[in-house]
Amino acid sequence: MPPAEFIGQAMGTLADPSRGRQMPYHAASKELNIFSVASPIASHIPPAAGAAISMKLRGTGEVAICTFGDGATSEGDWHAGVNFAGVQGAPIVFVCQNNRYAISVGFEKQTASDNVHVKAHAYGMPGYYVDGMDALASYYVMRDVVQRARDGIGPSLVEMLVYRYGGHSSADDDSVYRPRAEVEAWRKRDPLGRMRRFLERRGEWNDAAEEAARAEIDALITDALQAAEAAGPVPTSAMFEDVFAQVPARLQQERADLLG
Amino acid sequence: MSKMTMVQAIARTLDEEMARDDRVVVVGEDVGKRGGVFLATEKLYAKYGPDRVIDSPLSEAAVIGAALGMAVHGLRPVAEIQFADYVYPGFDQLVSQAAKLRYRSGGQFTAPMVVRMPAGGGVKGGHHHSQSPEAHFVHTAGLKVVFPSTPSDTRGLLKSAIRDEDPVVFLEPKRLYRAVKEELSDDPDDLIPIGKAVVRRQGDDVVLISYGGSMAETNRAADALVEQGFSPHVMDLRSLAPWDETAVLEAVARVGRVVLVSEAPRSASFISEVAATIAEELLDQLLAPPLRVAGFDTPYPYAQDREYLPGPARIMKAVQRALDY
Repeated sequence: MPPAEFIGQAMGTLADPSRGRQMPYHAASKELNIFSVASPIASHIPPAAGAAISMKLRGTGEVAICTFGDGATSEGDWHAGVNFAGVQGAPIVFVCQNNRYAISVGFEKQTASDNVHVKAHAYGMPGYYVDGMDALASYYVMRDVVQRARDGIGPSLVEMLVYRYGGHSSADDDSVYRPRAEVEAWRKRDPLGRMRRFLERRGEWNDAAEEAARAEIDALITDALQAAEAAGPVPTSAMFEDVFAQVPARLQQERADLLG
Repeated sequence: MSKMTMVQAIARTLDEEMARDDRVVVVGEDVGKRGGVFLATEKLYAKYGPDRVIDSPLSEAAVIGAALGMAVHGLRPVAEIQFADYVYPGFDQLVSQAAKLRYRSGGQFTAPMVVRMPAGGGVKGGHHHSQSPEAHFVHTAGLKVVFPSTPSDTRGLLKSAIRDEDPVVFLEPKRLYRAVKEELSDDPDDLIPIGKAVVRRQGDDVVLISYGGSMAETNRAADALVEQGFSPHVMDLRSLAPWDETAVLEAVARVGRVVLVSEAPRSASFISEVAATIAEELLDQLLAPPLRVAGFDTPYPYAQDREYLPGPARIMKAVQRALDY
C-alpha cells in the first residue's frame, strides 16, 4: 500500500481508504486486492476460502493468499475454512506466520502437533515448512505454491517460522513470558541482515547503498506521515455512512439527533 | 399463475433468480442432490449443477464465511442454514465479518449475500429446531433482517434480498412452509421492498402487530375478535431491519391500542423495540400501554411445543386488557 494510506489507516484520517473505521494494523485496499481484516482471529479464513472458490468457479486465473499466525490454527473457523478450500480444490495458499507466541501463549500450549504444516495433510493439501527469516527460501516456496494454485492443482499450506522481537502491542510486556536470550538469539537470524550479507558477498550492496536506501526510506516515511496528517480528520457525520449502501431512515434520524 | 406453498415458492424464486443472473449461487448443507432438508432448493442441482448449487461441508462457519468471500469476489450467494438454531457456529461470520465489512473498509468491500434459515417452533423440534433468533441480527448494525409469513411475500422479499447490495438474514417460518398455498405472480421482477409492512386486516379497535410464524396465530385471534364483534387492525411487519416505523406509528396513533405478538422470548425481543418506539413517540395518544405477547424466557421446550407458542387465547387476553384499560 502507499505509505500515506497505511499510516493514514493507523491515524484514522481521510488518507485511509477505509475512512478511519478500524484500529491500527487493519489496512485494506480494494484497488490492491488487500481484503479488510476483522480483529476476531481466523474469522477471515472461511471468507478467503470462499473468494478462492469463486475464483475457481468463475475461472479468473487468480490466486488467494491467506495469512495468519500460529494462534489462529486453534480457532474452529480456521479448520472450517481450510477444509472447505481443500474439498473444493480452490486456488489459495494458506500462509502461517508462526512466531511461536499468540501474545504470551507459547506454541507448545497452542497445539500438541510438532508444527503447523502437518495439519495440511488432514485437509488433503501439501504442507511446507520454511525458514520465514530467509527471504529467498520464502520466495521460492511461495512461487511454487502460487503456481500450483494457478494451475488448478489446488491449495497449499505454508508454515513460515518467524519471530516477533517486540511485545504483541504497546500494552504488552513480553519480558514476563520469554527470556531476553531467546529474543537476542532470534535477532541474529534477522532477514534484513542476512539479505544484506548475501547481497554484499555478491557485490550488489555496500555501505553507501545502505545509507542511501535508509535516507530514501526515512524521507518516504516522513512525507507519508505528513500526507496522512494533512489529509485531515474523518468528519463525525461519516460515522453513519457505509453501514448500508444507503443511509436508512433511522440512521438519518440518529445523525440529525447528534449533529442537530 | 400457479398455487404454491411457501417452501415451493422459495425453490421457484431461487430458480428464477439463478436463471436471471448467473452470479447467483446456492451454498449450504444438503442443498445439492437432496434439494435441502425442507426441499427449498429442490431440482436446482439438476438444472444448474455443482458449480452453482454447492454442497458444503457440515460447518455453518464455512457456509456463511465462504458465501461472504464469494460475494466479495463478485458472486451473489444465497446460503442456507439448515435450521436457524444452527447459525451460532457461523454467528461470528455474520456478525464480525459480513455485517461490518462495508463499514470497516469504508465502502471498499461489500457483501451482497443472503443467509436463509428456517426458524420458529410448532414442529415438535425441541429447543434446537424451534428457536427464533431474529433479535440477535436486528441488534447487529449492517444486517438487514426479513421474516415473511406468506408464499408470495416470501418470493417478493427473497428477490429483493438477492438483489440487495448488503447482507440479508432471511428467516423463514418453518411451521408455515406447507401451511397454505397461494397464487404467485408470473412476473419475474415482482419485488416486495425490504422495510415495508403490510396491513392484513383494516380495523379500528386495536392494532395487532406480528411477523413470521406468529402471523398465523395473530390472524386466528383476529378472526375470533371479529366474530365477537370487534374490529382489529392487523399488520404483518415482514421486515425487521429496517422495520416500517412510519406505518406502525400511523396505525397506532389512529387506533390508540396495540398488541405485539412474537413467539421469540420476551426479554430484549424485537417486539420490545417496537413497543419502546411506540411509547417514545405516541405516549400521549395511547389509550392503553403497548402490550407484548411473546414466547417465554425459557429454552424452547419439546413436550410443551404448542403451549409455548403465543396462541389466540393469550393474544385475545392481551387484547381484552388493552380494551379494558
